[in-house]
Amino acid sequence: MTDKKNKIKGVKALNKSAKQIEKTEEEVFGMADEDIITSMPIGCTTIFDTGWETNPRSTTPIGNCVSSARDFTSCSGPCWWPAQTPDNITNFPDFQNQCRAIEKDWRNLNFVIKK
Amino acid sequence: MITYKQADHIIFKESDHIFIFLVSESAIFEIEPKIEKTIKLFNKSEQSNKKEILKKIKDAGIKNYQEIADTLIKRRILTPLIEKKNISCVYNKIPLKTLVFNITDRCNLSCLYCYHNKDNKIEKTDSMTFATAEKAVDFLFDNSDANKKVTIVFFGGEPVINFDLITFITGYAQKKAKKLQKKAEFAITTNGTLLTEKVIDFFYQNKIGVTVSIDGPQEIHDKFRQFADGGSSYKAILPKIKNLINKFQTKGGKPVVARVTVAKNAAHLPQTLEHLLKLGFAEAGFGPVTTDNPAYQLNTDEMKIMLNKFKELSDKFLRYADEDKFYGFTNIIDLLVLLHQGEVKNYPCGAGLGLFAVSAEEKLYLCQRLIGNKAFCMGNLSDGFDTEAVKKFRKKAELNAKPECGLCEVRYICAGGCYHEALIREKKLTKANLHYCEWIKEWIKYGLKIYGKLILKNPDYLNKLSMLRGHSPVTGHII
Repeated sequence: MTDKKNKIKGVKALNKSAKQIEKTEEEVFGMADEDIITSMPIGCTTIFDTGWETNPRSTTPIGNCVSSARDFTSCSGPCWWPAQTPDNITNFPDFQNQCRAIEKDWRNLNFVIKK
Repeated sequence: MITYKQADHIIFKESDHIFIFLVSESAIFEIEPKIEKTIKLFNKSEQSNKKEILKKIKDAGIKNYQEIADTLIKRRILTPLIEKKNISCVYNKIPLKTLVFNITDRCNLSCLYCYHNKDNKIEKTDSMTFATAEKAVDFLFDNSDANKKVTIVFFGGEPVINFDLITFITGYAQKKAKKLQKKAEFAITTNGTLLTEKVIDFFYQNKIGVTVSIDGPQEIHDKFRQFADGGSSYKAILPKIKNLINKFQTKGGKPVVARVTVAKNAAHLPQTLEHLLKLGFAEAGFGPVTTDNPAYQLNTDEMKIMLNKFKELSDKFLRYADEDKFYGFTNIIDLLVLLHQGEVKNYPCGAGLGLFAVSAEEKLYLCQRLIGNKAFCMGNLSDGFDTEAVKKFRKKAELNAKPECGLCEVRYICAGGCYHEALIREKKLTKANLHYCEWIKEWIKYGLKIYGKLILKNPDYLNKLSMLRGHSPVTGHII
């Protein structure tokens, strides 16, 4: 049951949805969880070039910026810069899943680690 | 600090293996006994933070309690206390994928249970004209946006009555698809009475997927599927469907499938499936008749019999699958693929989302079964979709808007069931089909059992089934 690095002992994903949970866990760490890896750089521009995330392909629009329309959910980590949110369109569609209503769920916002 | 609760789940066991199905994720995991033991420490209504979780597991004397707590959280068996809401598509424009063409309302059979025959709310109209058909094909492509593939379904009445129109639509759609660098696929549901050599050749050449409505051996089929004078339709279709299947099999056409309407008596299902597979159908699927007429409806006892027969046929399917062979029982195949793909459904079907039906008078309806019912008209070919009507429908039909589904364990698989069935039986289209809740629950749970058994004996078979239904196989690497 532990043949891959993202497989946890004792629980084996069988169907597509379960495998998706395995994969997501590899990418997204809960910011508010007490067990996060704190050695990761947090803050402006160290890992976030504005817009790097939105289009990893070699086609246009290359590296387009985060839409200003989404700024209100763009509080990631301790940095409140609008462009700090990982893109939830292409690379991290599950990013906001735990934050449906910003006014009450904002504590659950995650940050992402690009591996 | 995050507060967690136990996720809604179903635990099921097969030959010493333990599985968990997470209701709102449709995720299936195999778990070790210590994980099951830990899950049982928590109850549904309990809310706890990480520290409390750790303490509870530690106090129960479970080793590696930290690792286990992390596992439960990471695999979402313990989930943050946030109301799960799937992304709503009420206000989004959804690219059109499938358009069902109501080729004609006319039919040369008078099946006793047919909803077209009895429902007086339906306005019967003339057959669709070439001009309307052309407009409808244009509409489908114009509204398909980024979809590279569109599907045209020929429906009726008996669509082959208007065979010239079918040939026209096929040719026109193929030309249009080529021009737009898209692909057009075709499917037809027919009663089989008009399948001449010419028709069969055309279906083969244009790769049209054929579904034949047939209810079983003659004595079962003819009970409800009759000509207007009461004559046997079985005798009329038998040589024709044999010819169709034979041609498709020898030339390598699409698999021909059968669709069985189960009315009044469900005890014959195994016998019927055997019969249909012997005739050469690749698969046969069963659906209880939709009617409010007790003369045809399956009553509670008959529904029970149907469920038992479904289970019997699923067991047989499993025996074949264990040996890597195929037994064409559509209902279990569809359910297993659904479970393997881990689909989370907010709507029971594609009607009003990517699928609409178009009538001869150029009106758009939610689906083919609702054609002619004004209350469910969603626009027309000239003015396009009635966006307000579509939005209103989507809002009301969403699972979140069906309080009767509550915390049902299979709500994200069933999502309330067929709209037309609900309209007839529950008198409201967007209501859940409460009359078969228990049935569906038990059937899906049985599907989970079969899933568990199959994954232990022949795991790759589920990928093969998925591919048969046009999905990519489920591997460790999902992109």
